[in-house]
Formats: sequence, C-alpha cells, structure tokens
Amino acid sequence: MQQNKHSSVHLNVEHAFAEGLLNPSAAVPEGVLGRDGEVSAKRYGVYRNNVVSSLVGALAANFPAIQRLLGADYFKALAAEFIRHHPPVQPVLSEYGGGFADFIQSFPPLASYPYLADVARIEWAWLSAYHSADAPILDAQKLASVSPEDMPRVVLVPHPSASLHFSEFPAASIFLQNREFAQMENSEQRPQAVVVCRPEVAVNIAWIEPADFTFASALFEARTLGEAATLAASGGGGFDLNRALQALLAAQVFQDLEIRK
Amino acid sequence: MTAAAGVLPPLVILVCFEGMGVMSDREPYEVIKVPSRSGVGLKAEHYHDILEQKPSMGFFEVHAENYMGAGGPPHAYLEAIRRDYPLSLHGVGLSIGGARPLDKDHLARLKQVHDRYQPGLFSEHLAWSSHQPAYFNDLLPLPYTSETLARVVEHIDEVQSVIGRQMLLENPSTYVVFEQSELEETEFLREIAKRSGCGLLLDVNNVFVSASNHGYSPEEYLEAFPVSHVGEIHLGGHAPDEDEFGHTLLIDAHDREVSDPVWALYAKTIKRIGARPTLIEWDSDIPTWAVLSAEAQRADEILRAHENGGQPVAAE
Repeated sequence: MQQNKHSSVHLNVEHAFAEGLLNPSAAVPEGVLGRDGEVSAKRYGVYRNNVVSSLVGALAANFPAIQRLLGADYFKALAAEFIRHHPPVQPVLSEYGGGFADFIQSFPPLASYPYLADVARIEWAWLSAYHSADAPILDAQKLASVSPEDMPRVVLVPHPSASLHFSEFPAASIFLQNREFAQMENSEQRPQAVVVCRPEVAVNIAWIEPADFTFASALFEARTLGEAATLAASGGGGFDLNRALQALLAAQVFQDLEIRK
Repeated sequence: MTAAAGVLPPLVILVCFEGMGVMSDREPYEVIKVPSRSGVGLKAEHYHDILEQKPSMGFFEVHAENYMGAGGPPHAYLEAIRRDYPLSLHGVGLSIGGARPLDKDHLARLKQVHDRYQPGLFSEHLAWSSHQPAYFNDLLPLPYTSETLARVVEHIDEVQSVIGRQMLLENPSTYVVFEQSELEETEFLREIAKRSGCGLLLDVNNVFVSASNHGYSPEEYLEAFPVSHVGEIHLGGHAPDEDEFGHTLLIDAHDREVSDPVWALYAKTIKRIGARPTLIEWDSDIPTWAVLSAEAQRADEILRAHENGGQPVAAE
C-alpha cells in the first residue's frame, strides 16, 4: 500500500499528466501508454485537445459578441492564450472568464482596438446578470411615499443582477449590435453609460446619461440620495436628479430601499 | 447628442410557459423514482420543444454544474421541466478520481442543486478533472492501484455522506493506459462498489470506446463488469479516428447518433441484466428535438422488447 502522502504515485502521475495539458510542447508523461505499450502523442493529445477546445467553447458561449467581433479563428487563438495563463479554478463554467476583459485590455496585439475590453466587461455583466440571484423589484410607490424630510436619507439597494458601466467608447452599442445582430440607437454616442440588470427573466441594458453616472455609481456604493445628489452636482456637467432617478427606476435596478438613521 | 433614456428591448426573447417564472415559491419536490425507460440529457436548445410538446419521456438528466448559478432562466426552465418529469442529476466536475481532497465548496454547491431538485438518480465519474489550481473540464484517467482505489472510496464515502444518499459511479472512456496500473478496470469498479456501497452507471459507449482503443473485447469486459450494481445506463455517440501507429482511436465525442455495435452491446446487456434507466447523451453539435427523441425511442423499444419476454415490440 502506498498511503504515504509524500510518496503518492497517484499524485505524481496526476501531476505529470496535468503538466502537459495546457502546454502544447510538453512530452507525453512517463508511464502513459498506447494500445501496445507505445508512447502515443496522438492519444495523450486527445486529452489536451479536449481540455483546450472545451474551454475555448466555454469562453465562446460566455462571450459571443467578442467572438463575433474578432472572428472565430482569432477568438480561438486569443481564448487559448487566456486559458493557458488563467485556467478556470472551479468547475462552474458560466463563472469562467471574469478576467477576460482585463486580459484583452493588456493583450498587446489588440492595443489598437481599445473598446474591446469595455465590450467584454458589458458582456461579462450580461452573463452575471443572467445567472444572478432572483429578487423582487423596488415598488416605485414605496419611494414616492417616503416623507420629504426622510428622502435625502434614502439608500436604494441595488438588485443582485444590476451593475453600472461607463465607457469612453460606444461599448454598449457595439455589444448590442454584435449580440443582437441589429442596429441599435446611440451607436455613435460616446462616452456611454449603461446599467445591466435582469429584473425578471430577461437581461436588459438601459441607458443613463453620462452626466448622471456619478450619481448612479454613488447609489450603487450605498450612498444616500442626498449624498449622491450632492456629489453629482459638485461635479457639474449637466447632472439632472429627476432624470437620473427616473431612468434608474424605469430600468428596475433596485430591489428595495432603506432610510439611513 | 442625447441618449434616449429607458429600457431597450430584452436581448433574449424568453417565452414564459405555464408555471414558469423566477422566484417561484413552490412546495418542495417529492423524489420521483427514475423508471427503467429511456431518457435524454436536457439541453437549453430543447427547453421550448419540451415545454410545448410535453413529450413522453422516461426522464431527463442534467449536468449539475449547469444549474449552480444563483438564479435566472436556467432554474426557471428546470423547475418547469422537473414538475412534469423524473430527473437524474449527473455531476461532471467533482474530480472523484483526483489525488487531492475533494473541493468542499463544489461539493456544497452540488448538495444545494441536489436538495433543490430532489433527483431520482445521482451520478459522477471515475475520473479526475482538477489539479489545483486548474479545472480542466475533461474526464481524465487515473491508474488503477490499491492506492487510487483507497482514495476513490474515501472520496465516494465523503460524497455520499454530504449528499446523504447513494451515488452511481460511471466507468470512463479512455485513450491511454498507465504503466502503474495493477488492477483491471472492472475489478477496480467492483471493489469500489463493494467498499463504498455506491452503485454503478454503466456507459456502454464508453465500454466500446475503451475496448476498441485498447484492443480488448467489449463483450468480455461486460462479462466481467459487476452488473448487479448497475443503476443506470448511458449511451452516446463516438467519433472514429486512428493513432500514429495505425490503431483504432475512438473519441467519446457525444456529437452524433449511438453507433450500431453499441446498440447491439446495449441490447445484449439489457437481455442479461434486465431493464435499467437508459440515457441518450448528446452534448455537442446538438441535434433537433426530433432526432434526439428518436434515439430515445430506439432505446425504449429495446427496453420494452425485454419486458415483453424478448419479443420485439412495434413502435407506437
């Protein structure tokens, strides 16, 4: 019996087998044999190919707009590179690719496509919203019935699916065009600010005025309405409290409210 | 330039079926036994066909890892389908054959899915897929030794005690063998079932793939297989290839119909061991619902022929 953990044949064999899975130039691990005891690179290569192509497939399923923008071949090469550097660390693949946008941003051959990383961030938010926890939506009446003196102390609780995005590029429009195969409004506008959320079964992307973004992100950081409005107004640049609040409520990005004591 | 405030049309047009919706506050499910009929692997591509047509189907099987998100449409669909059909839960990422301890977080998520859907069957693989920190998303092979046997039994004990039920362990399809192996696969599986009390999931396509790849007889493998422990059967399609030495190399691709020799082995197995819940696995190049359900029909005919005393029964 080889129960001693320090001399585990099991662990050594597994380690050697794992080493070459993400390294195309690695040799067939010792002791891994083909039909008649041959050392078969092709057979070991089946595992290597399964690993890389299934993970490329997982990333393609999570980032279809990025795949469409880059083309299948380029996407495959980029994804394989990402997988080699950042393999998944757990088995739920709908949660794989959180670092893909940053990887794209720092990938030198894509430096002349600076909007791509922002598109990937919105695509990741879309996927996260799709799988996020289900939760009720704030009833606008509840906000309307808050007394005027309590109103500045209201904290709006974001829906678990909701996230805010600001891009110097028309990232949201590019995302929508490449996900929906349709021309969307605002396609030339830049910068763009959007909120991604899934109030019920469908994920929505709602526009907010870039001038209202500071206000929205303060709310998402659990600042009170009063604090968020003050912060946004001090930044100048056409912030409009009513417009901002109405856009966020229409997009159903909050699940509840609290009055801060 | 001004942006029109407001919500754009939803990106995905989801059809809501009766009883479908997020945040349903339903009663807990009662466990429905999976019958000795055929079933298919549930694919998102077929959600609408199934909910619209309500086809006759023995059961659906899902990959546990596809339903580990906190919420959203996958759960809404599965809830609606679970209401009408028996369910089998099949894990693909636990790495039971791994040398290191099981991932406790993943096991906890598996238990959560199990408890939520109360499946009639629950299975995992004799394989490993993680080697810290990486998860490889493939069913990787292990040598069969006394050391690996003890570890696999330890892992199954842990799974069965956390989930609180018997699991089925599936025989793998393999492309290589290990110099270090001391035991035959059938012997290894028999000993695992005996020591851990787990059942076995017999994948007949895997038997055919491994036998073809390693040059032994699938019939002899099945003769040696501890069939009294078999609680479920899998059937799937494989892709033919050849290695650099000119030997047959079949790939367990799950991307096409079940091959004729696998159907023949399946019919022989059912005749010998009796009817068992039988799954058609089709995981890539997903076909239309009609093609997939025709495969399930074919398995059902073999099962019914057996139950009618070996006389073939005409399809309905």
